[in-house]
Amino acid sequence: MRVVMLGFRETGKSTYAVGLYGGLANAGFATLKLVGLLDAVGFLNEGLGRLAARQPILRTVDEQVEPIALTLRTDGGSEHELHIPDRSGEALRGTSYSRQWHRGLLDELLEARGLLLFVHPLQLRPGEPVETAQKIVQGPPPADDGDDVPRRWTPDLMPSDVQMVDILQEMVEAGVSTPIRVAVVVSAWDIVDGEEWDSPSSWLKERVALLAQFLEANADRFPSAAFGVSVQGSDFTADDATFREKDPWERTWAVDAAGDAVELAAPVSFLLSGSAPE
Amino acid sequence: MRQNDGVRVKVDQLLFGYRDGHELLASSMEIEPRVRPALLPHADARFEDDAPHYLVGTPIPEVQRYLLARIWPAPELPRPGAVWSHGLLLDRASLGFVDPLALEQLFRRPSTESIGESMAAYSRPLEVPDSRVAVPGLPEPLMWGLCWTAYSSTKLPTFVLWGNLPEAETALLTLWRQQPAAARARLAFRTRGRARTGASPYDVQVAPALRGRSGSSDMRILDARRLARSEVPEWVHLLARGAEEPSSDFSHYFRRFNTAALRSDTPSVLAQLWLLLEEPRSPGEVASFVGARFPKPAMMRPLKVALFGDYERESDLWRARDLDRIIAVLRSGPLAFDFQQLELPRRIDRLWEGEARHEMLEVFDDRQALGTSAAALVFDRALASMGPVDLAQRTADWALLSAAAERRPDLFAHAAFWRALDPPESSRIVGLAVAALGEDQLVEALLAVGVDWLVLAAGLLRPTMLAEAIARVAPTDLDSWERAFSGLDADLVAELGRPGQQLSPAVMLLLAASSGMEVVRVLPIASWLPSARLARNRSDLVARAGATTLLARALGSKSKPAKQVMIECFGVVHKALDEVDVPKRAWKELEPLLPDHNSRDRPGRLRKALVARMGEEAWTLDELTRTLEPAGPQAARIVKLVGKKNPLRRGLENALEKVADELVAPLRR
Repeated sequence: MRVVMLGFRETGKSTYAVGLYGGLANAGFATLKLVGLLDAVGFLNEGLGRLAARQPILRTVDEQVEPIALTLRTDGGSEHELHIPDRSGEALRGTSYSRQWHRGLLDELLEARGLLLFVHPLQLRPGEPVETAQKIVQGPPPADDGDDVPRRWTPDLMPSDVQMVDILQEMVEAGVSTPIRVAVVVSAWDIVDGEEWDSPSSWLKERVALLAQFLEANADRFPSAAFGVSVQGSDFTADDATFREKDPWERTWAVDAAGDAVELAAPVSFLLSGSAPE
Repeated sequence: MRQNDGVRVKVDQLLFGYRDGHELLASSMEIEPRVRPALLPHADARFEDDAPHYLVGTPIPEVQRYLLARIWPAPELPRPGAVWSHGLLLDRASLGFVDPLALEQLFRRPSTESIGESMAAYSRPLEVPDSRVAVPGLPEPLMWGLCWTAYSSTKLPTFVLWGNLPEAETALLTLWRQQPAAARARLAFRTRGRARTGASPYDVQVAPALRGRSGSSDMRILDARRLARSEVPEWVHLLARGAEEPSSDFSHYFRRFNTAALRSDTPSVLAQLWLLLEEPRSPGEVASFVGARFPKPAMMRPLKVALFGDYERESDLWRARDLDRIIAVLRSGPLAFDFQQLELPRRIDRLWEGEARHEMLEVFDDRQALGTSAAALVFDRALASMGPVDLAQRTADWALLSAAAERRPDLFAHAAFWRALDPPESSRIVGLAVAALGEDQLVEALLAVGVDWLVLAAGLLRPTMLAEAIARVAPTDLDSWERAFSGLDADLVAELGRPGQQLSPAVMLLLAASSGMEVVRVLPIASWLPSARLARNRSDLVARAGATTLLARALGSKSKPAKQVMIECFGVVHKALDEVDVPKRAWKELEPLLPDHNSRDRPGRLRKALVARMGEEAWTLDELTRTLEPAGPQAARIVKLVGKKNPLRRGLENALEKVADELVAPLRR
């Protein structure tokens, strides 16, 4: 089964892949076992090394696509070959910016049966709330003091949820077959947790509202589930002795849409649950 | 070494770095958004070793430029794995001018502290210094590895393993410099921390280590660190040395011919050819090599001209003789060589004119071993240049003879041709020559050679023409005449009978001598007078036989012309009867007309016949003198046949006295 990790830069795709691999290769997960490796995993091991040294994972270079090919067995006994190429977020950005699909990314999407859609709380560009727009539309025009220079619009100005919905719509337009399962992964959930949102779903509905609404309205084409994950466990700048003593895969944790604890592999399990064994 | 040739070259530049992702931060030219994704992969890298920087060179079709970029790690930036990348964009024209090693001097890593000022510096084009960059001393195995990779005919992308990446960067640029602009524009290369198998847009990559699945069929791995000299083909050594020695003879040669880079193996072939030329190889081997690798005439034309063109103009590559070059090309054939462009026809003609004529004849004789076109060319030029003797020595070559008859009839007009025919060949050749030259010219030629050929031409020429020809060349050769006209007498006689037909006295005499009374009676006796006069002072067989027949004819007639003929012929016949003889056939025609059939004294009988004739009409002293003058010493006896009181006696005595010096007077004994 091919799964595509979709997300802009610094949204935690490579970090999740390393964390997932670390868990599968070492402690294992209750719902998912690593049966075999189909491709070299040197970069994953390097990533684990960096996590162990409390160093963030290196950014994925645009030119290189790190192949991740694993054979997994679910708790139900079914086996699946899982291919998750780790591609730079610049590929998606380039697609959004130039309105042309990155060829390699599109090829992967056309074969994909599942999406891991990553959002990172710190990389999110939320945009203005609807009420702001309403005020602009309904209220008097603001005074023109002549000092503001009009800013040229670029795709980077689009709020993140708009960009993500745009990407999903473009996928269908490009021929990606649906239904295709979408696991929305909120990275670095440890940053969010404990604040005003108690679950990934509530956070999505407020912070990435358009995406949440789109997925809900298009559940037939994009059956989805939200998850919050933390691979590093905490901010590496924090000197937490507890985390320093743990192995990288022991530091990871995740919650489901409702905020209940699940395994880090839960997003993948969600995707696999909708596919036939290979 | 090529510099910028005095041309001021400016290149555009790009700066990439991490801002909102790895992106283009500054540029000296407008880069459309849709194009940026094409640039980004080449301006990004993961530093997996302690190399200070990496190098990338690749064509960017989207902007129709070539990108040469240096990438540095940017650990000072907050994003782990961030890099800086400074790229130079070269257009096709610049690629042909710039020294790649000079480009290396332009790379600048931006300073994070003064990034604002740095941006401005990257926003305007850079001028490439017109400097002569010293060729660095590079490790041989590295250059072998890169040259073997770059110039190999395999289409697989290749990884070269080498530990020192800055060294590899300089080596790559040195290699790149060796190539013509067209090849430079296509070659994609980079250095990186680890080699990974799998699809790649680069032709050559250099890395210190390998990662990923080994044994991949879509990529080749060459470990230059362990490359031994003996493993490397000689042509690779040559190319590697040439890359580092741009002023060497080989480099000049390589730059001269490796221009369009038609195929990926052109450089290796050129190197192998150079090695071939350094060895004492025959031109045929060189031609075979070149023809096999550039099998169409239009391929590598300048090289083919330099090797196989006119020696007087093309001798800087090698010193093979013009003859050897031409033979080599002819044997290779027109599939690989353009005969016209190599000016073969002109050069072959020159060889024919010079000292290589004999060799050219050998080539001609052996032309069946050549291909069709080469053989046709050799044949054509040989025919144009061949001499008559050459042709005569090749009469078994009917194709040659036929062609010569059509295009070189002059050869048949040469006496030398006929003289050189050994032995005289069949009448086929004569027939061909008649068709080629026409009778007149052929006869002229045969006349210069001899009567035998005229005889051979008997059945093919008009009888009158043949007769005149033989009469000119061999007026006294009755045997040849009879051989020539054996069976053709009737034709000739028929010609004689044609109104207005006039034959020369020599022909008439020969006719009379060979055919006798049968022919002589065809015409009036007066017609024979010129021939009679011709025979008068001759003693050869033709004269004797002819005169005898004419005399017989004259004795049978009382006409004045008959008398004249008798006057002219008596002396020849009398002397012949006295000293030699006359041919039997002719005597048989004369004998019945002479008195004293029982006498064996033939001259005496003839004298009596003359005296009898003299008694029938008046003879002047001049007539008597003319009659007796060539008759020989026994002619004086004629006096005894005339009585003393006969007035004729006095005339005869006076005539004899007049011609006494001509006669050895027996009466004086």
